[in-house]
Amino acid sequence: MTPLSVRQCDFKHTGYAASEPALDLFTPFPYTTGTMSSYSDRKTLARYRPEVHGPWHGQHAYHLLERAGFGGTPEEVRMLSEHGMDASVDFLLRAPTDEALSKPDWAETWREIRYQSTSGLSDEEKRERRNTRIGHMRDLQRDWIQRLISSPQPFLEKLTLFFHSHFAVSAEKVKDPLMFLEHLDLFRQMGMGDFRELTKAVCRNPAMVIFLDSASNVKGRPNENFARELMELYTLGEGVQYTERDVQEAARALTGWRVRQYQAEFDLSRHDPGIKHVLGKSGPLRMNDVVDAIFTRPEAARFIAVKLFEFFVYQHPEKDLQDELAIRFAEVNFHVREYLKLLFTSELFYSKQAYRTLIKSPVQLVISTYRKLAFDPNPPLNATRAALRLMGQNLLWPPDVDGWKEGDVWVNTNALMMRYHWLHFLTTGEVPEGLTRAVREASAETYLDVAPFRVPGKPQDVNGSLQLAALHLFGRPLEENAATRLARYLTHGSNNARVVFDLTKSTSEERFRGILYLMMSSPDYQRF
Amino acid sequence: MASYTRRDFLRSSLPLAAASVTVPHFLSQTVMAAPGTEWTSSIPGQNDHRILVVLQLSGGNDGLNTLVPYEDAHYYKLRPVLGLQKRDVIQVNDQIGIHPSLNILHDLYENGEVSWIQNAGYPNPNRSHFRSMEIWHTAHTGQRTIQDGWLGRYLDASCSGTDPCTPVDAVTIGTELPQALRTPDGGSKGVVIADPEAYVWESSGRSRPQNERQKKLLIEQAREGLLGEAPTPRIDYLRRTAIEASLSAEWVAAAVKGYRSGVEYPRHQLGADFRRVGQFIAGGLKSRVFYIRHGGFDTHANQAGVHARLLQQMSESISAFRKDMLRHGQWERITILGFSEFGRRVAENDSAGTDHGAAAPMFLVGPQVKGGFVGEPPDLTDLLHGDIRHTIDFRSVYGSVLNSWLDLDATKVLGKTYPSLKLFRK
Repeated sequence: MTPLSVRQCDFKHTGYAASEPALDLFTPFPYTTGTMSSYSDRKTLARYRPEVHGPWHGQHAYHLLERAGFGGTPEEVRMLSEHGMDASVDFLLRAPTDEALSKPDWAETWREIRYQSTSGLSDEEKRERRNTRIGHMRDLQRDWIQRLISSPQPFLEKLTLFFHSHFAVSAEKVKDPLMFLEHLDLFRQMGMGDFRELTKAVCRNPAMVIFLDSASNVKGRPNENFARELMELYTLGEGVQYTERDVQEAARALTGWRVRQYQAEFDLSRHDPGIKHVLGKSGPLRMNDVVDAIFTRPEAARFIAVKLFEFFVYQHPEKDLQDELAIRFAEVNFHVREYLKLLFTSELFYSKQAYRTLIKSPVQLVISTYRKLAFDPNPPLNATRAALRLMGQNLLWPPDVDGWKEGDVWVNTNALMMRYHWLHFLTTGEVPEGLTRAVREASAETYLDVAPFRVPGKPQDVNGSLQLAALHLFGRPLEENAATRLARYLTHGSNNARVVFDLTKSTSEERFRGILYLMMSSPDYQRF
Repeated sequence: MASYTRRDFLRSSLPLAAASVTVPHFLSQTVMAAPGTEWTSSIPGQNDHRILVVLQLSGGNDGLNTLVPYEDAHYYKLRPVLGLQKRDVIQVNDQIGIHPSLNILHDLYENGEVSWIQNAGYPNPNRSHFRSMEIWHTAHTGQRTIQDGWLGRYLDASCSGTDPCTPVDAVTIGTELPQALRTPDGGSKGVVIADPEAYVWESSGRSRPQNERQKKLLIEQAREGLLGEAPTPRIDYLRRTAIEASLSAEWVAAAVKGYRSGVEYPRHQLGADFRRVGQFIAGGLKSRVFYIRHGGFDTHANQAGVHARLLQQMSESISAFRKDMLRHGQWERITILGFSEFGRRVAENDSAGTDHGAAAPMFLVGPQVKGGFVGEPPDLTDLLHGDIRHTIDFRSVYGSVLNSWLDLDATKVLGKTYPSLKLFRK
């Protein structure tokens, strides 16, 4: 068995050395057995059992890698399928390594610069300082995109993305790039652990203190912003088990926090020391007391358990199932990794209800495309950044305090056009007009290599090439009629006369790029 | 000025979409509904669809500093910092003054083209942005069982065999489809367009025939799928959106090409968005609803400057749009409806801002609106948890717009009848 690895920073097409018979890769994918079935009508988190539900094979591994990460090459999928479900889940959900938490070079230089007073600076120097800061925010965005594409721990980055949306903070308001990086690192360090502890840490995270105006929440004149979002968006859900009174009292308990010298600090003189009544708990409550009071409510387990389920498994879980999710999440003591292990090893996760039923976010679309195609080691980061923004997911700039909504909302006619433009650029290296204003970084060197789709020794095998493309993009073959339609485009000239398809020839290559562009523009590629 | 009728639209695009033997359910309800022959005869009155432009002020507009009760001592007591002085507001009567940043809009008021509806809201006001916005979009206050929107239901009810829906019935300017345009079948109405110049599908072929065939494949694969999967509502939604994007792109491009604006629109996002609506209307796009958002009203801190700027932007954008539409002879067809998810707390907070509140004014702008004020100024001595009580249900306003402007029985959309308001001239 090949040792497990996902993109150990090796971007080469691991599965497709020219000498290997690539089509053999079809063998470990028994998709001829049809799509995964709905195993039972009873929706529970019962464990997936191969002896009952059938062997855990390539398609299961494909599904797991898509959901717990951002997909991968057929070779990576094959490795997971060889190791089986438990080893694969343990491997993907392993604890963060030091490398995953390493700081980029700019972080240290900026840390020094930001503490230097601006008082003696000329206008020109002040402008320069400001530009440096803005530049580093872009660096942070690029660094993250690079990490999403190449990290050997894709699950960690996916969970970080989940929390970036859940505890949404925007660079519109939090302008210090290092503070923002530390905010994201909090999710990398603590995201897999106890959600209650993470919530407490987020509450006193300087980025959050700034974002929700905690500095203006002071004794005598409380500002409800943070208290409201803490209950409504982070822990309990809108209007669930709390009243307006709870919000107002909690706001008092949360008074006194502010940011000085880029650190969050608690200033007792600005804190309201009086007796407050929050969710049935009374006393001279402070921040941690409020969070503790929230987590004694059963709804607190339900809200985040359901949200995680919807992000990783499927949307709108049934009422009974929601009850079970809440119970299971509480049973594992709000431990996110333990809970997700339960999900990823459940029969439900591998059922029809979950398989290919989620809509790809722009990040999922873009990052998984890079990963499935083992893209160039130097992806066009600026173009990717701009494209994500146009598609509606500008990393570090969530649209509002509620973060990005998942589901159908990702796709509308405008978002689809932007997806098309991006895929056009990716497959051909040309910048379509619709993208020119946003993307100036385009070079023929960054575009997609069609070599993985050449059937070794048989570059004229049209159907083989099409099915190889489908294997990469969908982890399953094309339906016969669809394959015939696409093949016709590749084998017929403009006058409809037959032409020879040969993927070593530039004219066929160009047409094949067109086909990849189309396949990725299909409604089918927008689901995973 | 080019004018594109539904007929043109269908002539260019229908054969492609209709080529399939199995017509997907969603298509049979939209452009496919009518027999082909209907489309070759002229359809009288097609150019006269009335247009509703919905302007959403996102974040919670401070109604009390929009329409100012400048003679009310309670106002100044609760707003020591943010209260607008009598000498600064535009005094419309002996009680109400309008925020000075709305002076351009007020010229239209003087012209009888603006109606202010005071204290609009709903029972048991919700102070969550998301939930309250949802209530305004769905027009339902109870349990969250209804997820479709009032405009989606309106378009559903107004399309018929002789006047079927097209993808561009509703155009949302921006990047996100509003919940108001969701339909009960889990789908939605209309297209979303951020930038018409970028709203085009570009094929990657090297020759015209290649490009034509790519385009054909794009629609075919949207219709049939690539993997042989059985359709689900979600798959239908994606397929329909893909087809609508392809079909509407050509139409939008044609409409944009035909537009010449002689009017200078203000150079900010809202100005650009109104310009786009003007572009589409003047260019002949057959839409009934346009949706625009104006964000930034969640003024928890340092409200005064921000609020003034936002109102100023709104005021000058509407004015430019009106001029443009007058020049194109289109203004008679248009009504603008403005709303926000809630007003703000009457008492200001310690950060020179205001927290989430309840009732607030709505407004209508257009040549056919009745003009003036509807409802009484807020009673600041009778507050609900520190917020203004609603005296007019916002669904009464929707109802009047539906009944009097869009000519549709409002109960079909709202589920019940709300007290009617006289908001239009006719």
